[in-house]
Amino acid sequence: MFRKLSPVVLAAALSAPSLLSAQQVTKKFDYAPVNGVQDLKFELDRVNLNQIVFKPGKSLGAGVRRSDASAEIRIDNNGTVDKIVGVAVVLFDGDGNVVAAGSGGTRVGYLSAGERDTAAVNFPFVFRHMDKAKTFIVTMELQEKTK
Amino acid sequence: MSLRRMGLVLLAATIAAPAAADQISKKFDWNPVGGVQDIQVEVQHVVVGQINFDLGSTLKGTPVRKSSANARVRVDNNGFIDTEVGVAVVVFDEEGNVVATGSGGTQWGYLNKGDRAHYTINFPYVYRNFDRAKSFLITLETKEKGRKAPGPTPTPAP
Repeated sequence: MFRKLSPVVLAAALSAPSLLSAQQVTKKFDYAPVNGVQDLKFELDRVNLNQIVFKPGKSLGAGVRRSDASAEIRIDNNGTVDKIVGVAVVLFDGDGNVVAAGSGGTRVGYLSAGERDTAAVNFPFVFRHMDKAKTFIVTMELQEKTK
Repeated sequence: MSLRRMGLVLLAATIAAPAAADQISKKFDWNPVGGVQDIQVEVQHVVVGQINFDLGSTLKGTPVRKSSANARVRVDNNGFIDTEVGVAVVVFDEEGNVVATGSGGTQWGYLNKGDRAHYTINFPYVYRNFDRAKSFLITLETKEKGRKAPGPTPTPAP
């Protein structure tokens, strides 16, 4: 029975919709990094995004088209509750074209109360015009640890 | 300079001229049927003709937070030149929040002339409000075989 149940439970777990509602906020910034680094002021429910580091990249070479372009965002949980954090970053040029887009965040477990983490956001396939970025938007998505 | 020589210089300059990748962005209302929505985004005879959204799932009862949410785009190279292709998808809710975003494209080599490919764009970390999607933005970036990224602008000689 147990052997029969396990795959069923696993399948149910895999197929269960994951769209639990989460808190979310979005903010737009001018693209103005200095040596790739730009300070942000961005808070939702005592979780702060206060710095982003842009790393424009290039194709990995030898026929591989993926790029190593990325951004790193520093996340501080200044609250008293552990949280799951997701961050989306979209860079636009002056004409409104997306020149890079991606997401990063909590991979496993939670960002514990009082802790700091860095989320890596990769831009592997749309990166060739990243040097033309003029603005970017950041969306932060939060889900609290259920008690 | 003779006319013939000038012509040769111009031809050489045209061939050697570095050209950047081409790009276009287009916004659509969120209107998939069974996850599938036909669209039309075209650059240099490369066309994104369909997108298939999958709201995905996570491994419940585990500490893993990544989602399997994704979109799969169908890309046709209807041109005469092999091309590198990149596609970015940004999905917005009614208030302009990003509810999913990512990019996909050519992993290796080129999308050959006349060929069709499907690229998967994963939304692993921002996906929890995907069901509130109202619009999405598609950016198609192409770079034809043999093209080079633009180099620095030369300083004019005194």
